[in-house]
Amino acid sequence: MIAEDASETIALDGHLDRLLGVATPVAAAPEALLDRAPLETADILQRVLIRFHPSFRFEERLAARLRAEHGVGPGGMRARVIPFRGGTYARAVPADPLERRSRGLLVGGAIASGVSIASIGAVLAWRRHSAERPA
Amino acid sequence: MFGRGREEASERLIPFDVDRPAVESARHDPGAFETLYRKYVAQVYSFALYETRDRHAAEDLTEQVFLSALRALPRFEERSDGAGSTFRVWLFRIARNALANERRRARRHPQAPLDAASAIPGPWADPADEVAASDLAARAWKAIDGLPDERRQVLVLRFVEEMSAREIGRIMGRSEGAVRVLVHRALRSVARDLG
Repeated sequence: MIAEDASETIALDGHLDRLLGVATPVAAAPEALLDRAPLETADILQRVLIRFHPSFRFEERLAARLRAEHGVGPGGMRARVIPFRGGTYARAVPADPLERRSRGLLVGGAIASGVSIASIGAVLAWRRHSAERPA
Repeated sequence: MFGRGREEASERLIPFDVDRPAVESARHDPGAFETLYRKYVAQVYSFALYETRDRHAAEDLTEQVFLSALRALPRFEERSDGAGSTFRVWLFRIARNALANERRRARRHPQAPLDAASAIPGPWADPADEVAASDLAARAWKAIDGLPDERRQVLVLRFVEEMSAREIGRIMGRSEGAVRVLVHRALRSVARDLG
């Protein structure tokens, strides 16, 4: 078994801290005392041992699972989906222009149109009535 | 006398864990755990991938680790003594335990080589340099693969996760000095194989 000198392992540790940017050593380690082989290997491993990122799909799936674990919604535990009052209003203006053009055929649209026509008729009748009234 | 007092004081001193605010938030609101998850998912996944050498197994292990961490968070204690830990150390202990359990359950040590050597990014303008670097990476991978578990793990934690010898010691239940020796021996072994 190799008996390491404590000062050698400390010096190597200091070198690795500097190489990896883990910490700023208090004092410069006496690297000159070190065997070159571990130092050169450390340089190689620093380039070769890269960090991998999981796929975006996996990351998001697990994020959703963690939220579900505590009944947490997408915006956090205290966030919850509140239905827009009068949910039909949310669909009042469809995103699709073709659908918008056809809205006049919908029952709701016909009622709205009928109400508008009745209102205009009432205003005109009121104005006519006012005009006929003697001053 | 003064020396002893200083020693006791240093034992009581709790180093600031950069994750303390996020951990506190997650304790009160599990939804806040997502911050910690996003921060560490790649680290845990990388550790799992280096150890299992299989993408699907690494994903399963990563999932286990974060689910366990979320459930156990109320019991997590940040302490300054040898047994205590920062959140990151605690998380990697969970990962190491999960890995050990998985290996016990599967009763096998995965043999599939990690085909990541070809994916090493590098600033090589000359394709010949890139080929040489890829060859070097492949030989380094092989050398690391042949190391005993503890030596391989210290190299992964030191170089991939960029942990200090102290942090690694806390994860592995070893002293800082023992970790330095393990790293030294592991590097010498790899150096011999690369020879």
